Amino acid sequence: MLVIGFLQWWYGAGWKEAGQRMMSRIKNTYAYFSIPTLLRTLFLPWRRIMSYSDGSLQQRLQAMMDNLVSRFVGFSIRIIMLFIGLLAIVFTFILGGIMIAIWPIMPIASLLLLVRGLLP
Amino acid sequence: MSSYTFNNRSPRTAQVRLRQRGGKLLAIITLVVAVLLMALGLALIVTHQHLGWSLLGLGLGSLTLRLWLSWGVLPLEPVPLGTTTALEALLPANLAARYRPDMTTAQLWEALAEAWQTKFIVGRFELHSDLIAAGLAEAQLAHDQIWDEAAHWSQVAGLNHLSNATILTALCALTPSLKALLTEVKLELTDLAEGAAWVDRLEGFERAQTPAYGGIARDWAAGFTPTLSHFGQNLSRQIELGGPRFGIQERTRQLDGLVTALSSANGSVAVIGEPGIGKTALLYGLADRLLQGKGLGALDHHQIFSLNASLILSQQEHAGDIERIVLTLMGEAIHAGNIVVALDEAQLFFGQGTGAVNLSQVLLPILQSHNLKLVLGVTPGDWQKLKSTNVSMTGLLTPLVLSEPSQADTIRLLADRALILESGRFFTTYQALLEAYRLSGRYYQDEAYPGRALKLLEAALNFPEGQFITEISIQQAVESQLGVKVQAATGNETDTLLHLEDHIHERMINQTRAVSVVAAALRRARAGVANPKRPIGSFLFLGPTGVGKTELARSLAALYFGSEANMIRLDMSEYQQTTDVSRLLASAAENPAGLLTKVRQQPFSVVLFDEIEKANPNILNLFLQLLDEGNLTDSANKPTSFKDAIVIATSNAGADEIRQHIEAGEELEAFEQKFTEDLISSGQFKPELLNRFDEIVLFRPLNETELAQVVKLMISEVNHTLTPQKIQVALTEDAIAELVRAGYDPRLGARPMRRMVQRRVEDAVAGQILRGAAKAGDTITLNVADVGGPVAPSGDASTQVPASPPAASTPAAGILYERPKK
Repeated sequence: MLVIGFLQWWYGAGWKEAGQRMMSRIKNTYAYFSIPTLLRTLFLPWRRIMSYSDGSLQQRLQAMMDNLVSRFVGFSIRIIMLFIGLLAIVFTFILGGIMIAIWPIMPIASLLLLVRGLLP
Repeated sequence: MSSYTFNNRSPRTAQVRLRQRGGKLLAIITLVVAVLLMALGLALIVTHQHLGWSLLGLGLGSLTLRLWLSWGVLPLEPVPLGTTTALEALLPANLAARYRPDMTTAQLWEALAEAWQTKFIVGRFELHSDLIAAGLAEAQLAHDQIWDEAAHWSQVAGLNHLSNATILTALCALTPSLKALLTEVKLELTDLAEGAAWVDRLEGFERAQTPAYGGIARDWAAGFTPTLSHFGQNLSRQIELGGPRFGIQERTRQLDGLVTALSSANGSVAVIGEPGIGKTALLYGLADRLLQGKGLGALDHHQIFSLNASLILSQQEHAGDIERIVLTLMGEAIHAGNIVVALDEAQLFFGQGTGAVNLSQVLLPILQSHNLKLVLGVTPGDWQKLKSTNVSMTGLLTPLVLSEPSQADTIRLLADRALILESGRFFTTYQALLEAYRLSGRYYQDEAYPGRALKLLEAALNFPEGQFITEISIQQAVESQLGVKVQAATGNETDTLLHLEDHIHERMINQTRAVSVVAAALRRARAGVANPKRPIGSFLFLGPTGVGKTELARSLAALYFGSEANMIRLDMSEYQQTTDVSRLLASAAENPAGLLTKVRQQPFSVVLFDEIEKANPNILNLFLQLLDEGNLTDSANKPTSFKDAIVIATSNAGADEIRQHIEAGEELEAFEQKFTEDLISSGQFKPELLNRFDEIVLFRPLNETELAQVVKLMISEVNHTLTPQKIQVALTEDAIAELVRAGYDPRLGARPMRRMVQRRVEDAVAGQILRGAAKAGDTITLNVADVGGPVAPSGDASTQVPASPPAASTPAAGILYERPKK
């Protein structure tokens, strides 16, 4: 009965579960790296560090430069994190895809490999 | 009745058996084996060893097994009711694994008892496994009947499946002896169903995953908040670190209201509720919801900073310091762009309360600009004051009024909170939760539910019974904090209650009828038979002056509340004008020494209203509410409970009639009914007032024999006073008779007797002591001449009142005597 139960689950609910878990991991990775927030705020200043000036042209230019630096720092950090996050998602997707792809052959593959090793 | 099936050989049955018989251990072993074998296999393959393929195959097989166990077998849960009739799928795994259709009810219980969920219920509901086993030993219940009953209780508990707890509830419902056991532990079947829901919530907490709170880049576009971090608590951060998320699910409706209000045009909210109602808990709930940021638009991932009012207000060194700090805080919050600022005890920022400042001019422009979301926590009273003093500002706030949760919701909050408070050190019983709800409602009236019950539960952690927090722990916490007796009377106290009349008569002469009526009322209250929504007892004492009315009230204070100091006395002759009503109902702010303030400070008291017939009729009307509902409301609209007080009103009305009846040889019982009717017909008291007293108690005048006993009690008091000097006083019978003769006044009863004893006995004793005629160890014997009477023939001094000191339990003032009225 256990064998029947195992096979029923493996080729039914189990396969589906594997797919759901892969999707869940991708979602979690997506949320962990705040992908939408990174995209939405890509060019915003880092931690709202900004300069304001109503003074001379030089002071205004200085403030503008400061803000550009802040935006550049923000962009740099965010783009790096975006890259790492997307990489992680792709990696998770590939691993999960492989898992789902080999899922139906795992029981039989383990038997075949066992026999393969025992054969001369 | 449904017809259930059970397939002993089904795959599901085999899986639940595997799950119960070491499934978890097997899952760990298969994972370790899989990793080792695959690693070894790959290593061998790389080194061209053929056996590596076999090891890799075995490793892969082990991994396959592991995946099945951890994803398919271990999480096996009972399927929802109504989807099948197969018991192997409907029953909880622990039961399905051991189930046989031919099991006796006792065997079924054995299987059920092994589950932690069952142990949880048995332990926390004080049911005892062996008593349940004994109750089910002879039971032969039809299994289908049990499952149907369990399905019913699952429905009651709000579950869609059978659980160990609902099956236990079914067994209790179907077995009379278990029903009786439930009654013994003061529970009902619905309580067990509530327990089933409690277990289900606990399982839910364990399964729950930490929600996504915005990820690592969430705050990168928001400003830094150093000043806010210094002067406030970041509630969102606390939630993120696993902080107090309990009770959030019970506040969904209130949270919806708060989020809607924050999203509105005004954007700032006044959360209005009594202390303890859960304003702070609601903020934590808001923090959780904003962090999850599901469809909240502009509020997504906002953080809640709750400002520490005391810390901010303590910064004032120079004028304007507070305003500057608050402006900095608000500026920082606006600049950060992701902050909701919460001001708990907001009234302190608007000039109300000790040490408060008025910041309305600072906050008004901020509110008008809608650049910042503010949440102000205020009590309803403070909100009303704010509305009258800061109209423009309160108009910019959306009011959200919090109401107390229902009893069921409060118990659920307590149950979930108890699991956190216990920290693995104690186990809180369900009865303790019920008692915390009941007693906090009765004795902690300055706060609302659930706060007051939670506070009491926390206090009870200091009074564990072994490893358990039981209803006795709760009672001990109340007794320790308030000095009131709420536990069942035991030992000496039972004896005191049963012999209350004797104890009162140690201080009172005669008045047997009055004493027995009052003692019976006290016994009823202590046994929990009396109506808890009214005062413990309410009595109208009628009788002439100096017969012991006040003394009985004082005795009650001493015997029931432990001290004569627990008597609050009001002379109603001082409340004769209509304007005196407001004086009687003065709030604590208006009159810190007023009646209601005193009762609020000392609710466990005898409240004595002397000469009630002299009070203004409007005040007598207030008595109707006091005696009926057990409370009065002060001028600040704050109720004061008299439910823990004994209310006594005294009156001399009809004193002459009583004297005439007694002198005519009638007994009190014979004429008290007619006497009461006469009081009503003569217009001295309204019938609705008299009917609201528990008892109308008539006091009879004292005769000379009784007054002689009063003198003896007074001499005992003198001896008690002299105890430190080791000198005692004794009076001859003649001397006592002389004092009675000189002090007897039928109109004033025993009242002149005190003066007489002072003047004739105490003066004589003082003289002897000052002259050096009496020294330590001496007994001063006073005869009739010594107390100012005619000289008696020799030999009369042979009979003396013994100079023995009074019993230790007899307080110095514990004699029948009323102080002269002011």
